[in-house]
Amino acid sequence: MLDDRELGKKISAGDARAFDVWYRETAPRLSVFLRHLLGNPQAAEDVMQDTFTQVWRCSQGFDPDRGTLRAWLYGIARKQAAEYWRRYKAADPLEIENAAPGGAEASSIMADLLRRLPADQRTLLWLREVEGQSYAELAAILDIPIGTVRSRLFAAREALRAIWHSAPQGVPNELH
Amino acid sequence: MNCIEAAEFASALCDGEIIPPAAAEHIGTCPVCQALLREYLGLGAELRRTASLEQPAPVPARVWTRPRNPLTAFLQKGWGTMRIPRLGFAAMIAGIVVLASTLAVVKVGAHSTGTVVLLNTVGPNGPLMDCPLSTQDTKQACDWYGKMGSQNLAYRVRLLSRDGSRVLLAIRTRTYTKGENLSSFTFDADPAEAVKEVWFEPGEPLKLDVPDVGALSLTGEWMDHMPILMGSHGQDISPGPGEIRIASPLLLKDKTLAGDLVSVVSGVFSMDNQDRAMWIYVPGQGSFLLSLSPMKGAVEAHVTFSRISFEEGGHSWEFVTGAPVCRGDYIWVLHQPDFKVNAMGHNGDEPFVKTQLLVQTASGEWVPTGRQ
Repeated sequence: MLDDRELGKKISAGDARAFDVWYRETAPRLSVFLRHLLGNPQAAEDVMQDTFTQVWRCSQGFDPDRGTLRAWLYGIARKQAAEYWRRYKAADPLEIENAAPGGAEASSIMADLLRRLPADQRTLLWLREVEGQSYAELAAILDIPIGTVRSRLFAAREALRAIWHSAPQGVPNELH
Repeated sequence: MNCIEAAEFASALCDGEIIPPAAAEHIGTCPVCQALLREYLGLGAELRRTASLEQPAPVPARVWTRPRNPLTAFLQKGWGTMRIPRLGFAAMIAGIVVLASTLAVVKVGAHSTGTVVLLNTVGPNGPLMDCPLSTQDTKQACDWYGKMGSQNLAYRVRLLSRDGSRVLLAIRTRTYTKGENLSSFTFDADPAEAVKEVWFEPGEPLKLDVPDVGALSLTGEWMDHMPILMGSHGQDISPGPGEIRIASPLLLKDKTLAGDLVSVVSGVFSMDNQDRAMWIYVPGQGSFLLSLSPMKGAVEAHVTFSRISFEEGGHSWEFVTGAPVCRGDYIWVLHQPDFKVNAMGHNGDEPFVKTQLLVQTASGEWVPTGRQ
């Protein structure tokens, strides 16, 4: 298993085989993240492919001293998603709330509640709780100071908790 | 510390962060904060459970290719397949650079080995003329006549001899008070006019004081040939605003050669005064006045680069010249087929190109005066 620095060097040097291995390992999780961020499986697939294309073309831009390869990838994905919103004028992700979700999403209460959060908070919570990104990685992905990550995570958790408690009748509001 | 202050640290605890002792102590003893901590942890777990339910879609296989810079690819390939010693190749490149530099130095130094001095004269009101003077034909002279402030100035330069990189110039100037007819003056008719001889080195500016006019500034450079187009300052092939240029003109009448004025204007004849017309006399065909101003009795001629075409007197006429005539597409031509040049003391068998003074009438039309 190559570490970030070695893998970054290989990709920067145009090693297509190393990049393809990394793409196959990383793309499925990135795709799930983008599905929750964008609320649209097709858009998530497009943005994911655009993200890897950009990473491959600009791989010389990766600096291992400034963060991990994964943080760099998710940072580019976040910007690509923002570009998608800008292009399709869906500034508020709630506008695409009614997009047809995937089968598993439809059955998930949490997925529905998550969609009600602002995109920044949804991104932050997902990257922290699901992807396990560190504070330093989150700071790199979101382009914010590392000290701000803690307060934003707290705000996001509070927002999700508030939505959880205000969920309509029939939705369980107690965690078991 | 109270619960509100401790809430953010409870969130941080979920992330595995170290928190301040006061916050840790409060959370350890406060049942509300402990409940909040459990809630945060539960939300996180629920999020991960949701993510775990997702079936990651298979990612499509892709081919990763990068567009290569053709020059880089060529150089890389050339370097990799080089069959001569690379040190030798580097030495060869260095040799070429040194040789090219030497040639450049030689070229710079060659400017003093030319045989023509291109002399530029600038007066108090701007450029006067560009004058090419050959060191091999010292009979050539450049003349300039015109208004300079409140005075009329006649100015002639000749090159007498050469000494190394400098030349001896013979400069004659004469000023006329307002009202005198400058056009009737030529230096040839006034050989007694004082000649001032000065040494001039191309590249070094020279100031020449002319009484009642001011300073003329001379600069120059060596050239290895006599320039063909020497009609305007800076040798721009495009005519200036309001300028008319005629270079080695031919006159065609109904597509047949009717006059060849190359013996009169072997170079470029130029004028840019609105109150003057280009005056071309062609023996047997009469006088032609060309102006950018509408002249009384003139026809509008179409200008296409170096051709002036017009219909007049039941004939098609065309002046074909060796340089662009003017900036516009039209020019006014006044043809006077019966103009008698003998009355002005000119031999009617010889063509000429001069300028003629125009006056403007109250209606805005311009009328030729017959005066040069």
